[in-house]
Amino acid sequence: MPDRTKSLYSRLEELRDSILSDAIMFNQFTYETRAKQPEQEYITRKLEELNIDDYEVDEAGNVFVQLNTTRDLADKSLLLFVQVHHNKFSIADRFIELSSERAFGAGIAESALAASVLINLLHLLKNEAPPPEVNVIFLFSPAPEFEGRFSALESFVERYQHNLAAAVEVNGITLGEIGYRSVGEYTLDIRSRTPLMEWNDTIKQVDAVSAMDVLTELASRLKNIGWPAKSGVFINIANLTSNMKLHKIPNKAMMRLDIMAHDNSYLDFAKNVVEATVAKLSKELKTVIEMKEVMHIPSNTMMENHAFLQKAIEIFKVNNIRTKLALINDEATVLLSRGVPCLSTGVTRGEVALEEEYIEIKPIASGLKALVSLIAVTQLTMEERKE
Amino acid sequence: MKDHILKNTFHHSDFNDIKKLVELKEAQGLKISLAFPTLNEEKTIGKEILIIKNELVDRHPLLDEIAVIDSDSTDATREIAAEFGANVFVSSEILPQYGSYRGKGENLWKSLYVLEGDIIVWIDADINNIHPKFVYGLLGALLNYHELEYVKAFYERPLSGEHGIRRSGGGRVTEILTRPLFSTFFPELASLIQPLSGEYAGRRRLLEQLSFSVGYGVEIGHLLDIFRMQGTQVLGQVDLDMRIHRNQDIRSLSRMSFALLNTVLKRLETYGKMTLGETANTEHIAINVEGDRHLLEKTPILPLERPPMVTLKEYRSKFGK
Repeated sequence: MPDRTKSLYSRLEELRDSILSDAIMFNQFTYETRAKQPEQEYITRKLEELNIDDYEVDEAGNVFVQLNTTRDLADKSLLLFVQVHHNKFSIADRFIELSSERAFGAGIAESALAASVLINLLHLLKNEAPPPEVNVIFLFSPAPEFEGRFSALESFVERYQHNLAAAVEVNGITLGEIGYRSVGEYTLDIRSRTPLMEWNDTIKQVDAVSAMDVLTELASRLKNIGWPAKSGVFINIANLTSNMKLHKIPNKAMMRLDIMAHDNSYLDFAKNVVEATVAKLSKELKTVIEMKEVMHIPSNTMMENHAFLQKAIEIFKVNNIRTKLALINDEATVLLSRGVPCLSTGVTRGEVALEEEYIEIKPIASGLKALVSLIAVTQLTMEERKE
Repeated sequence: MKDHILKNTFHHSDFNDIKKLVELKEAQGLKISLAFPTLNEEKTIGKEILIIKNELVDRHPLLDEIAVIDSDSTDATREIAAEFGANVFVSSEILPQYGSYRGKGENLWKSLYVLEGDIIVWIDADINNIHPKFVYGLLGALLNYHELEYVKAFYERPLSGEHGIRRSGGGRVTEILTRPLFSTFFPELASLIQPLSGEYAGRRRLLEQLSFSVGYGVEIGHLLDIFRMQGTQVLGQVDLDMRIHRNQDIRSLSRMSFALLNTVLKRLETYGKMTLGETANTEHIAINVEGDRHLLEKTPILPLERPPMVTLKEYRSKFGK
């Protein structure tokens, strides 16, 4: 392990409180600003407060800082990035509670913690500790839900991909899980419209169906398709709604559906089957069923035997962090599909559930170590390439 | 009428250059202490200490110490406070020879003995939206304006409850009791926007001269005594925008109002503004309805006061007075 990495390790314990403090402030910041992009405003303000004035903001809303520490201008950079989700919690839900072991509250386990880690690590590397001998770009990329979710990251990678040696996505609560491959996914909105009916109509016409009947039948057929076992295809019915009113038969309904598969050929095959099933049902019931593609994420497995992944596993092991390989977040495909090796790792453990969201405080120091290890991995991998 | 208090009304953003505040503090050779009076505040005390310490001790050395003065909490308040870096004191263990009462005013009074600062900041421990501005806003006024001795916070106080937050409606005791009392007897103080706010800062040289009501009357007692001693020109107030906390029920506010009223009546007599024909009752009376019966609930609320700290020999000895 390079001396500089050892020196960095010794400073990481000190970061716990400032990471927690900034994460809590990040989470509650948006209630007190009218900015259109409150998370971006918080990040830029905080960087200025910490005397990190050389940040850039691009047209897509990405905030990034380039930390160039090598003397060789040809050296590529490691991209450390976090997707900053715009949270829509009410004011009442924004406030975090803190015990000695945990921080509780909506939002803490996701963007708030990861963004705070990136800010504090950047501050440490830039102002206080000797930085590793590798160029690092710190990126805070805005991520709206669904439509346009990757557009800011795509725009950044488009511009800088030739300068990127590797990338690490920083997550909140997946400490020990090294995300390295993405699952392929289509997200579809399927809408059904049927003639307007009252209860009486259903007595007169026994085969009459409502828009909801159409979609529940479709859901049932899709869930009963026997996919090949090795395909890993899964049909996830994420949402099913209608224009329901008391004592009325719904004539409009919508279903959001995810088709997932490990392999792109199976993914496309599954999508074709879904389309055919929709067309067949539409014909059988003589009704309109529309299908719209909301999102497509191709699967990617290029990292399977990559040196970056192997080195990462090795270094995690050396640091006594129990490690398992996992699926990477969807956004990593933006990098993987352009040939940039990309891993993801969490900073601590915790849970995001409907009733409770929390992070554990103690493992944060280990999570930071893991992150610094990944910087070191890049450094080693690049040194080996030079040799 | 020249209104000193409105003239000395600021917004926290007037003082958000924390580096400049640190320079002012150092140039004036001051020590600054922050204390949280607590009783079972495990849900909020951790993050209050964490955020204030991180921003105003570690990143910018504006505060020299952060302390918690606790009234024998039965939850994890003291453990959490210590975990996140506060000096934790149990109120009953400070100056035990003078006995101990349970109450916020008691904790504030005892904090004067254990804290070292020339300026003391007191912040309530139940704030959900804690932010460094709660501290630097108050300190900014004192560090920038030497004529000010005592600065209070004001803010919008949305009501927070199980059904979320409603944007207005806080400060009920202020508007229904305190402001009418001020308007009647002390109109010079009626321009204090939130006289009962739990966040304020003062210079030790003034605070040690004040007597402290043990319970809810501590804030109003301070204001009346400061006004009597030095007038309104030493009072300032700072807008902190919004304070979100869990509001108290109407029964608790009624008891609070009772304590405030007793504190004011006592001052009115002491200052020779009014004479009561007989001693005021010291039991708050509430009515409980059980079925078709109305039952009286009596709660003793004694108008206990602690003497000015500077009158204690232990204090004079510790601080060389």
